[in-house]
Amino acid sequence: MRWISMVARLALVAWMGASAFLFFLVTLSPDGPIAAAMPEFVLQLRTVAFNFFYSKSSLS
Amino acid sequence: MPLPAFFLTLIYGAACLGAGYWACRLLPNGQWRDLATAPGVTALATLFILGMSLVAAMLTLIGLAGWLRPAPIVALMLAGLSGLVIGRRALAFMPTAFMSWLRGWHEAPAAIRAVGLATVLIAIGCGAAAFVLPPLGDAEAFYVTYAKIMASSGRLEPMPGGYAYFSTIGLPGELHFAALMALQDTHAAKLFVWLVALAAAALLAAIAGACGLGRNGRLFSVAILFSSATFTHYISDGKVDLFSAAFGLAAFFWAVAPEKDGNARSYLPLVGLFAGAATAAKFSYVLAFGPALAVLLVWRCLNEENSTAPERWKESAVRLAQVAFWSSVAWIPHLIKNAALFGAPFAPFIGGPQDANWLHQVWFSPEVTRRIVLTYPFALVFGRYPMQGGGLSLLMIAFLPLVFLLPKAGKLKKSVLASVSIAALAGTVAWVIMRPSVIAPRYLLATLLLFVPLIAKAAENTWEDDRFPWLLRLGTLGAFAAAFAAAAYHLLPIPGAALAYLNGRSPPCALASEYCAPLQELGRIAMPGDRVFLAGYYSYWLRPDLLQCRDLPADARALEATSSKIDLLRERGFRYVVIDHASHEALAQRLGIADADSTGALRQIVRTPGLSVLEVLPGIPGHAEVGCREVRSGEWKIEALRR
Repeated sequence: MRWISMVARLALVAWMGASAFLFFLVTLSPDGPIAAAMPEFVLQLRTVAFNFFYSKSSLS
Repeated sequence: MPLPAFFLTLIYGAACLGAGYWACRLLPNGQWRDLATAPGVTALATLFILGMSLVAAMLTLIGLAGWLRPAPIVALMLAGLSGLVIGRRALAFMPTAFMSWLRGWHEAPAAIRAVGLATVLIAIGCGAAAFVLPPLGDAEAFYVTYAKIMASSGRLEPMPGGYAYFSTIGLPGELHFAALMALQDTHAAKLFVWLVALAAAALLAAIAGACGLGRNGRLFSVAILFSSATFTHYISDGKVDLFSAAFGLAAFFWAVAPEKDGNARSYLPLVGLFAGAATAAKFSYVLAFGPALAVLLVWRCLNEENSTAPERWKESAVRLAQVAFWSSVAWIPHLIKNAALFGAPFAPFIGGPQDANWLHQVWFSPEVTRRIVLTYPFALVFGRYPMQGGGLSLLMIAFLPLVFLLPKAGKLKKSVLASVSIAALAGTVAWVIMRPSVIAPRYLLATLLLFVPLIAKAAENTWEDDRFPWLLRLGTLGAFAAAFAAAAYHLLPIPGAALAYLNGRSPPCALASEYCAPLQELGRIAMPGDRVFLAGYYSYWLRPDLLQCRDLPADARALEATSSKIDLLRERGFRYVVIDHASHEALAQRLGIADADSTGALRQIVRTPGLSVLEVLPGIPGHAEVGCREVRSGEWKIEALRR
């Protein structure tokens, strides 16, 4: 079995918890502000991730 | 009456199972022998879905002949049930295998059993919702309404009213609904979708099993399914999307099922029949399901040993051709239906009613479309776009990072899980390329569900090894709990509604749309055969005779074009007008009733915040040129009146 660091474990659990929490908010209020803001939020995350990996590769 | 409706649906389902036995005995290559060696629940689900397709084909023919009446339907059911009697020895392994599988859960950890129990409770809740909830949304406009008309008239014809053009679609569920409504009522009809959903769940678990998942992984697959709103929503609302999903999953399973007796082509007739049934049931499946199935078939072929590369490519082409042949066999009832009703077997693609814009759907602006495409796969789970109709389970996103903890697969090309996941990706990418603005998981549901085994495997991996960090196991349980809570949230009104219904204390319009009360009131006062002009979309609550006598598309076009609207209504024999103010306020204004309750020519009967029901006051006697007559019991025809 592969060893997983404590940081990685916490990150995975945080991801699961955050997904569940956001999903709950969207379910309770599908026409509310959080549901409306989700696409832009995901796009921003995508931009951050892209910039992170792009910056990393440009350094190497 | 709840109990007769409940048991009728179960008996009807058993008849479909028996019909599946007959269908399987007719297939070549010893399909029955292959099925008998499949896991019990998988064989049961396959026979049920196969039989359902065969029964729908028979109902199409008897509907076209105008024999969709209780006696022929019961005869068809008896023919199906005879399959259970004749094949009882061959089918005996199924209940035994099922009980053995059930007993095996005794050894599972308490947490896993809790997940199983929650899944079962959600599934039962969905069944109760299907039984007690009235048709809603599109089902109230077309799917269940069309079945109600056929159940009354006994005939399969284009649907009266504004959806006549839409009658060119495949009717995978509507004819079953019509049969059950002819024998009993809408509750029996809607409960049938629950049986289809259970069969779909069994086949998804079977696909997961073929991918190497164990008992826990297969359970997780079903848990993910029943926590997906895009699946559970369509168990109870009366639409027929789950029929295509069930056919699609059946095709996928038999495309990856382990070979028996070294005959790699033995399953192709089943794969083809189910693929044809899926695409005939929902045309959109051609775009995503087609590429996914092709990937599965070619992948399997290219990885066979003891042959050269050119031989494997040639064999791939032969198998694809065989699947295409059997798919076309499954399309035959649909082609016959369209040829008989529209003179165009390939309608709406070639010929048929002119209004076929719904085939080329663009839902949103380029900017919103770009946003949808860039936010896949999150849009499939968190998206709440108009017309989306729910999303996949939150577990698809929550468990996604766990995929990176999976042990490295041996030879990837031998991995069924890899082939299934890549097939899902190919189908989804094809959909996003061809229909980027159509964010509706139900349009490609079977293909999307092929991602489930990978996610379920990732979750199962956290439970396989006792050395796996307890923190991650706790995290997966927490995610399951959240997913089940979200699924249960939508089912909160159901227990109360079910109890009221079972006790006979359910109000007539309980949990129904705003159309229910006004149209039921109209049903109380209208005379048999009165014509109703319905300026709205949801006609289910009209009486069957009023549904058959209602406005035709030509009436709507004529009313739009003329300035003498009251004269036209009288000429065409309309006694009542129903206006949905949210969608047809312009007509209300042109008729002069937007501000006033009544006019000299129209008398208001019912007024709700959303709807008006008006009586067209008679003008000159003998003015009407059109009427509606009962040509045989329950069947009404609009015809010109003789002067």
